Amino acid sequence: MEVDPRFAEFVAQRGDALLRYGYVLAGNPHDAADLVQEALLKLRGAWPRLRSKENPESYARTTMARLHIAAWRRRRRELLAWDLPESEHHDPLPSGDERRMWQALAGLPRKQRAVLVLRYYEQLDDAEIAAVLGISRGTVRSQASRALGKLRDAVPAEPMTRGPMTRGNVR
Amino acid sequence: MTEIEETLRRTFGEAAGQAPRLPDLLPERLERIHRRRRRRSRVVLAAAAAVLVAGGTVAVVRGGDTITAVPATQARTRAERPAAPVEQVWPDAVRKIPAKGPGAAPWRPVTLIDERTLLMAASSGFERAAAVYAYDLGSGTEREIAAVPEPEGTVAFASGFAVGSGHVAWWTATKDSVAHFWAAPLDGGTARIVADQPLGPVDDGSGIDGLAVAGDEIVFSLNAGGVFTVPLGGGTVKPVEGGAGMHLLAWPWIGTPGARSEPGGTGFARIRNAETGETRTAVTHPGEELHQCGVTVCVGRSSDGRTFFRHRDGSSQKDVPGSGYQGRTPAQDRFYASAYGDAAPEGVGLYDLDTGRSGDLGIQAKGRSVSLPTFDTTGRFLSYLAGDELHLIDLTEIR
Repeated sequence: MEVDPRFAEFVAQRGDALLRYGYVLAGNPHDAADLVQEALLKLRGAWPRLRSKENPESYARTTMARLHIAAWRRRRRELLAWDLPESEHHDPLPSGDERRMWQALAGLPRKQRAVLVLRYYEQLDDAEIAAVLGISRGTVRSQASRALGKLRDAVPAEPMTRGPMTRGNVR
Repeated sequence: MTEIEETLRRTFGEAAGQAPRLPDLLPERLERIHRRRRRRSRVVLAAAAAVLVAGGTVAVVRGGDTITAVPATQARTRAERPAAPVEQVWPDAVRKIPAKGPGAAPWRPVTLIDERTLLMAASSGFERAAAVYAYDLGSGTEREIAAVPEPEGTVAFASGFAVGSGHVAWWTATKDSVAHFWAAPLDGGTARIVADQPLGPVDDGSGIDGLAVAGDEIVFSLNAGGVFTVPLGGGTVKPVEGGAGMHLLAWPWIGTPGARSEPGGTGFARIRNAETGETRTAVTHPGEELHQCGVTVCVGRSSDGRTFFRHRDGSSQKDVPGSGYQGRTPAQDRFYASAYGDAAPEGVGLYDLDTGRSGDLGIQAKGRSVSLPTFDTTGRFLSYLAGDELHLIDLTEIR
């Protein structure tokens, strides 16, 4: 099977980074892998006409964010081209506040979560987030503030020091 | 940055580090899915049209594997495994010819030139241009019609072969998003570009979704909608009256929605005869899904999950045993090929709805998918690779 060497090189070099991004977007490895696969397939379809000034990685990342919030995605998931490793038994996020945050994120609507990922993981500003998701800057701001409000409720502030003795202490 | 924002940033960073890794050979796997999807959409289309395109056959053969993988995940009962090989059930219908044509290039029948002559399209090996051949069914000999050129920058390989007025026509597309229409005399000669058609921003190179030769003109439709003609001898591309937003089904029938334009819609639910103006709309009953219609027959799924074939006017409904069938309307309103097997497809059978008989084509599943045979655009022959041989089933030999 002939594969465009430049496409193969891109996947080899950037695929894992896209999967990390997919994982924080989706919150679980299956949906993350599905997002990466769909985005790379779309990129593959567009590859012959992707102009040199267009950046394939930002194309893929934009595709993933949009796919993640698209309503129709919730109804179907494609067969993955690879098998994910069996679910691992170690706790992915051992520390208390990060684990609670990760769990609270799972309760957010997809669009709100996507806005937070773009802002705090991708470090984009609101104008860039608006462009990626195809929504207005006002919507970005309102989604972000609503999401932060929910997270504040779900993850109460804790003392920054960590250790067995601090738990339950009143600050 | 507030504390909650700081925690978020840290959480995302930590979580990202826990993401699984991508497997090796992912580009190859993606390439396979990419080609399968592109083929599948073309195959569904050619199927519905029953006349249309060669289903991207040359591109298919180029890829080295055949056609349409059937996803293994469908938890449906499939068609029943035939009791006997097709050679035993219908010995007169089976013909075997070499899998490779002249120049050792793999070839496939794409359409009929006349009752006793197949148009074969050969893929390019690495060193040889692809070509089209006339294969004489009586004598079993072939004759080269023309080489199929592949200009620099080609992204969609020769597709949509159609014959008429002593010519064979097809299209290709280049990376500048322009489709090129080609024609060559059936008596033999050089293929040349008849017309160019800008495609606009298209997905995955399948810009033309239907092509036919009618009189001295090529008729074609855009994947994005719109039916046009251009003279075989070259000239101006002109829109067909009433063809705006429509797709070619089987000239003179055009219709909407196109076979691949509306997920969930009924492909070619509404059709119109471009010559007489007659229109026909497919009958649908509440609760059922009608997937795809040809000029006469539609394929759908009833509210209780049974797959059926039925005439467009709602009459003559026939249930298709098993529910794993997906795809085209039956050839000659009677024959269909379907994967059989339990959880995963195991092989492929040819089924005759009229007599209830079936024959095993002997196609082995590979992993979780199986290659389905290809029908020529007239629906008379189906073909599939079996080792070094290309097996042809002539459905007119099945009584």
